[in-house]
Amino acid sequence: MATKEDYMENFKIFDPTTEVKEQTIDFVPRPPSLSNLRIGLVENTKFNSDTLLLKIAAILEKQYGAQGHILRSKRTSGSPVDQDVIEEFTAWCDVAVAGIGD
Amino acid sequence: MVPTDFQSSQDETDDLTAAIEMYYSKGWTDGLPVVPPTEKSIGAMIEAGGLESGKEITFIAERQISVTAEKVAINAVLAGCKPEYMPVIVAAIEAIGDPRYNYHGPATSTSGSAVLILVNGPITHDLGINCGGNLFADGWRANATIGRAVRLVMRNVIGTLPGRLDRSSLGHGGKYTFCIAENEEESPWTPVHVERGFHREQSTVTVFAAMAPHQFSNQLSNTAEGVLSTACAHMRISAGVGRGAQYFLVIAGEHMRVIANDGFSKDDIRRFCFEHTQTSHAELKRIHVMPGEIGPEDETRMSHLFPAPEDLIVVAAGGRAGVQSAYIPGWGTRKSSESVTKEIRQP
Repeated sequence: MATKEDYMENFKIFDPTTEVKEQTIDFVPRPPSLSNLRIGLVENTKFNSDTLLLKIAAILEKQYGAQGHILRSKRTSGSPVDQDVIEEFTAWCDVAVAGIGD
Repeated sequence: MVPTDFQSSQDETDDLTAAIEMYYSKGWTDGLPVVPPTEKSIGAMIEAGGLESGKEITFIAERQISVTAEKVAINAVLAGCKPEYMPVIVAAIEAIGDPRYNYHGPATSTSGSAVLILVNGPITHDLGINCGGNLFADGWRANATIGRAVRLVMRNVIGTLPGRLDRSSLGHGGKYTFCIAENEEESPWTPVHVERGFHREQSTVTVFAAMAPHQFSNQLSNTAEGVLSTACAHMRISAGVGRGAQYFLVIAGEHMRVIANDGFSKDDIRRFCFEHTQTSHAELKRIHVMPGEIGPEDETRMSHLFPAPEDLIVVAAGGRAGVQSAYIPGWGTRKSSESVTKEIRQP
């Protein structure tokens, strides 16, 4: 451990933090319209999240012309979306709706 | 050779008090004063872990943060650790980086869990980690500073800061430090690490995303069923709306002897508690932790507290005298975070 001499000679401050590695996320262009697009709904397992998402999907279909939806659940609210769901959405959906909160 | 070639940026101050104040001003403490590190003390910490400065201890994917030995060592010195604690801290950091623990969930949730660190094996004696009286409280340097070091790594390295990444509504005192050992010497039961496939001579840490300990008392019963019935009554509705977490049950001296005298093993305790912490849907609806109207069938439809008997982690620890034990609810559900045990590797 540090001795008196260590401190007498040297009052250095060592940064205990770490910088986050920078990462770039590419977003797909926002569609100009939802007409005839298929909706993927990401349900986060919280109470009523499925109810809310299905109501959103109904509005998007009725008022904005979206063509159908699928709803898939995460394993838990604190987990990322499973890879097979991502692949299904990539293959089937044009846009996705996700959210957080209770 | 003790490493001295560090990557961390450095600054200088005039004296020790100014150094402590600078750590405060940078937001690098948990609110308590820290021990300002020197090259020598950081190097000693890294050497005691048998590590190189740049060695990655874990990687937190959600934050894209690589937690290196150097940063762990700096935070361990800040926390007041002795160098020989470093292998325990390293194992705990590895464990919270394990996908089964799912760091991001419990670290960010409004539920406000802390990392409970249970140490098993011979290292508990070597380092003087308390497994007896005043178990969850003050007085033991190893308990106080190992848990604090892990929390400082979470804050300083991973960025788990209150109001930012850490959205705890209340949190609890265990977020300062939450480190205990199992009383293997006096326990009549198999230690947690042996239950999990390690040899008794190995040393391990088990991390658990834990809510605060809830103490219960029973000085009337002299049977295992009596004491455990009290425990179950306290635990039964403790989960609120979210049933399905793992639980710790920490059994202290007098209760330990009463339960063991009736021939109960840890498996017997788990089975008993699994059955006796069920609650009817009607009761859960009556106390408004389950949605919906109460139907006739709800009086007999039962919900388990934890997913399976093995999700109750039974630990023998606490004072020899006294009629108190404690249960500790886990965060979320077992699917969202589970306790993880890692071997402590000593160089």
